[in-house]
Amino acid sequence: MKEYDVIVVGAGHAGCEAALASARMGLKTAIFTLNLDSIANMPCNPSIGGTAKGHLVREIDALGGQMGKCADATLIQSKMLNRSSGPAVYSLRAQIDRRQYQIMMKHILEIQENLDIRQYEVTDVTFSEGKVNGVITNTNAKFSAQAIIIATGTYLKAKIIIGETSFEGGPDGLFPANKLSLNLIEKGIKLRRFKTGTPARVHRSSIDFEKMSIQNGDEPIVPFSFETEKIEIKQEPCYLTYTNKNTHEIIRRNIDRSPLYSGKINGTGVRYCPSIEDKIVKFADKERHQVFIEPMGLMTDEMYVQGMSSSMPEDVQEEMYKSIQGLENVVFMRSAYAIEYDCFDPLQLLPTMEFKEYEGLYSAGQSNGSSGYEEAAAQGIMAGINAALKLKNLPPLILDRSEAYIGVLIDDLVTKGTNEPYRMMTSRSEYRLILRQDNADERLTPKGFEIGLINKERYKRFLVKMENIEKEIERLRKKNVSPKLANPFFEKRKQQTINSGITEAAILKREGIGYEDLYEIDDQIPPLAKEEKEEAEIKIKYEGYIEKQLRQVEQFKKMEKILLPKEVDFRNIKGLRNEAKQKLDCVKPISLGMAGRISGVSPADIQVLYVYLEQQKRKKKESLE
Amino acid sequence: MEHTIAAISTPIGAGGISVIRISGISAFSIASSMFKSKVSFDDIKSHTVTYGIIHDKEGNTVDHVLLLKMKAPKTYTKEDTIEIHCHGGIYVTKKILALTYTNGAIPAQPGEFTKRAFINGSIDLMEAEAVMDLINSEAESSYKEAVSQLKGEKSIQIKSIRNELIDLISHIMVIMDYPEYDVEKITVNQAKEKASEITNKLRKLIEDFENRRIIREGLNVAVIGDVNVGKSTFINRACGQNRVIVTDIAGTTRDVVEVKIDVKGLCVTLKDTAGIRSTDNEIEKIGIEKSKEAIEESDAVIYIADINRPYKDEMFNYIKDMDKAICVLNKTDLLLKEERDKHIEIMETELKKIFKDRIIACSLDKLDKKEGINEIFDKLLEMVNKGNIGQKDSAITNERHKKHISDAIQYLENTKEGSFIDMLSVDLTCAAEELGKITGETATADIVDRIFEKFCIGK
Repeated sequence: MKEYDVIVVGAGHAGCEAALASARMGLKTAIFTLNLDSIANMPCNPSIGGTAKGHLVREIDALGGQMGKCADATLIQSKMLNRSSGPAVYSLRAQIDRRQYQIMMKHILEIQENLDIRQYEVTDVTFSEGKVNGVITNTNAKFSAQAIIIATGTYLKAKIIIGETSFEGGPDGLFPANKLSLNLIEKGIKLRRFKTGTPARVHRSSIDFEKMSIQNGDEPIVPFSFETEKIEIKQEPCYLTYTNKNTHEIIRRNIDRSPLYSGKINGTGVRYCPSIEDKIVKFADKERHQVFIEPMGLMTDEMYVQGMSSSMPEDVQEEMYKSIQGLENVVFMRSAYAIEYDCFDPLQLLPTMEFKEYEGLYSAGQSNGSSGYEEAAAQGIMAGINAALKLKNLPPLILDRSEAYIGVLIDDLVTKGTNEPYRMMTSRSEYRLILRQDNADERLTPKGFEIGLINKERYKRFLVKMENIEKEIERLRKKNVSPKLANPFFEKRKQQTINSGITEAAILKREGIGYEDLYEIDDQIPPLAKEEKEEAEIKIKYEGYIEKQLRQVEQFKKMEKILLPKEVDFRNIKGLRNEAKQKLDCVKPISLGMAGRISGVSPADIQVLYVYLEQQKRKKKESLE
Repeated sequence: MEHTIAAISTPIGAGGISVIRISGISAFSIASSMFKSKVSFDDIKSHTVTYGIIHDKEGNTVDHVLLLKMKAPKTYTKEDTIEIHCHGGIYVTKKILALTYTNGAIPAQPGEFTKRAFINGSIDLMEAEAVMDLINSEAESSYKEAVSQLKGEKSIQIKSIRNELIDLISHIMVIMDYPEYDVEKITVNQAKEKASEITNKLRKLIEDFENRRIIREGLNVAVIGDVNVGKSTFINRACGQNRVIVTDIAGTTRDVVEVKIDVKGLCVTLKDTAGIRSTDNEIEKIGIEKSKEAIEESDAVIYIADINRPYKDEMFNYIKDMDKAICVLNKTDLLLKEERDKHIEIMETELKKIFKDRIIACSLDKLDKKEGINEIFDKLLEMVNKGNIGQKDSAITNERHKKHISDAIQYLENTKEGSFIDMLSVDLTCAAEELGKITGETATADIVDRIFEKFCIGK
């Protein structure tokens, strides 16, 4: 029997990051997948990043993950979204050559030291004395490991639904994994059934792009990864068209044939990825809905039709697609479908992604009830890191809500659970002014370096960047501009003039003035990289806000630092209300802060816990004396 | 424990004096900024009592008080502690508490003084569980109080303002989370405008709250009943028998007329509402609304009915479940002998179930008989003394509400400086969190829900 330290089950976006993190941290790792050709597949939209998700990719990169690098190498269009809403929510999104991305990620796995990669369906996880000790495959091969990371995405007992037809099947025509979830249920793990869906893929030559509006990428391209110097490619456009009354009429006429409305689908649907029929039913007044046409890659004519996700029968699908301007003669290559699958209730997990009740067993990605490649990858890298740290007898790496979107994502999942596939959103992050995509490296690269995922060379470059930014901020704060020089500059911009000198930092704080404007009044601006200038500017402009948020974070951290020992039996703490006892016992929070975020736990319950901890501390002290 | 907490630690209205307690690192600086005496504050020795005045920010005297300064660690909480002994009235006590908040204290959580005493080691380990029990039982009672207050009109206002705020935030957030979707854009200035609209509404709430309290200065009592049941007689006799502080006879017939009298040292404001005959008439409907408003704002209700006439009208139904209502059946002198027994029976059985011991049958017209009017005021004082009306918790929760509203206003004010909507979104969310502390809701979940409820987005 072959022995490993860590085995990762599934090679999607979560599995790849988990396996790479573990192997790169020096552990003997194996990754098993149903099909080697489906590694890092994107069975839904061919894009990475977007609002909040772009933040996740940057954070994964800052920790030493792979997603950003592969995206940079295979992107065919790039956009920085939200330029007008403020730097905290700037979000990078790239259209990806889906196949190239897969090929690259597969190769990265193949050449990774300490990592074995093998095509297998894992059918069972084995335990000894309450600890996980290995896996069994469909061919009855057995492998041992001290940590198993489940990253099965939407494959567990997956079922495809297209109108009146349905069959066992995973995404993109791949096989489902039917045995693993049954065996896990037998061991007492709680599973649930979720549902999601994807639109059709259609042939490029059948689309009349003249009738659509073109959507080009931004120039110059901003990379995801700190390690990518520059991206110079010819970008591919996307296209925008709309549904119309006719489309809606077709859907309404056939609504009884939708499995969602005829009761054929039981899984919990997603608000975040509604099907077109959902949109028509829920927002009956809306006259049209946007439809984006996105290329699947450079070496294919398949096009992705964003906005037209559906579980309608094929004939209805074709009829409604054809009612859309520019798609009148559309030729389908793959139908839209809905998919139902088993996933875990994430309340069973610790913030390290390890199951509370099953030592050594981890889960990451869509199998935890999340949605999206980036959310999956983020959990994957954290599961990989924590499995490795545990086996090395090192303290876990838990990012809190004030440190990263990754922290918000995992905290939400393991503290509040989710009733539908969970999508990361800017709105979910309370400290979003300090969790920007531009400072992901500042927040996380020191941590990545400490655990060994960031090499010395990159870390040095990172330190230089930080120093450059600091120095420039210092310079702008000191540099005084005379009214003689500043006033023409202000007048030109219809800004209030001044009577005495003003610092460049103060000028930069004014609304409507950017860093680049300073060249007009300052000939000593040092030669800095674009992102260094940008960050210096943001830090000055947002100074007051950043300070305010840091004060909030300080308060937040105080409660996070009060830890609840693993052995606390919440059911036996007198003074807690019954509802609080149940919820606390279910979630088993690791800190007082986390306990406070559980719905059904009141501020008074937190006070009780506080007193309880003090009582335990004193009891311990007394028994020592 | 860097926060300094303050609370009223005696039931209001029950005794001659009230005590406000402040504990924490800034207790002394908070007290010194609102207290003036012959000795300078720093020279006051620990564990001594000093006479002086409490003044507001403008320097106006609020009350003459005794102040007890106690330096850590020889205090209950083992923190610097101040006790202010003031003149028991609801108004004065609340005002002093409010001043501690404006000077930097925060409202004490239920059981927090005791909790601190335990954490800081002045309560024995043996009593830890008692402390834990106390926290939730105090929270329970203050929660109940908050809920009962939140049933009123003010709560509806807070909820609807918070709702507007959530609408605004979700609109901003949907643009940030779904920048490419067909959603009506909102500019920074539009958002600021909306925020200032919401600020004004919250300001109005606080103003109402303050005004109400100034009118109050004691017990607020609504007098309600049909026309000719003897409301005016009651008010006139109440004025005749007690010292009248202020009378307000201005206003139209449909306005609420107020009289402020001194009943055995307790300041009582009687609000005479319009008599109501039928509900068909538009003006009568307004009258009913005004009466209901007066009832909601009052600490107690005196419902007067003519025992000789059918009296179970709309207002009766409205107040019958209120613990603060006293039912006065007037004109017993006009009862025929044979009917008297029947009425007594009704009172004994039916009305007792509703009002318990808060029923008084009397004849207010008979000037030679003082029993009726005295009985009413005795009942009122008894209810105050038992803490059934105008009690401790309500004072605290009210001040707590006000504190959260003021904090929300502060956050909304901050949005004025923001130049991008991401800046605005954070302060707006903090404001919604503050209001949520009153209504018991959390902002983030509500915002995400609202986004998907109102906007058609998602691929």
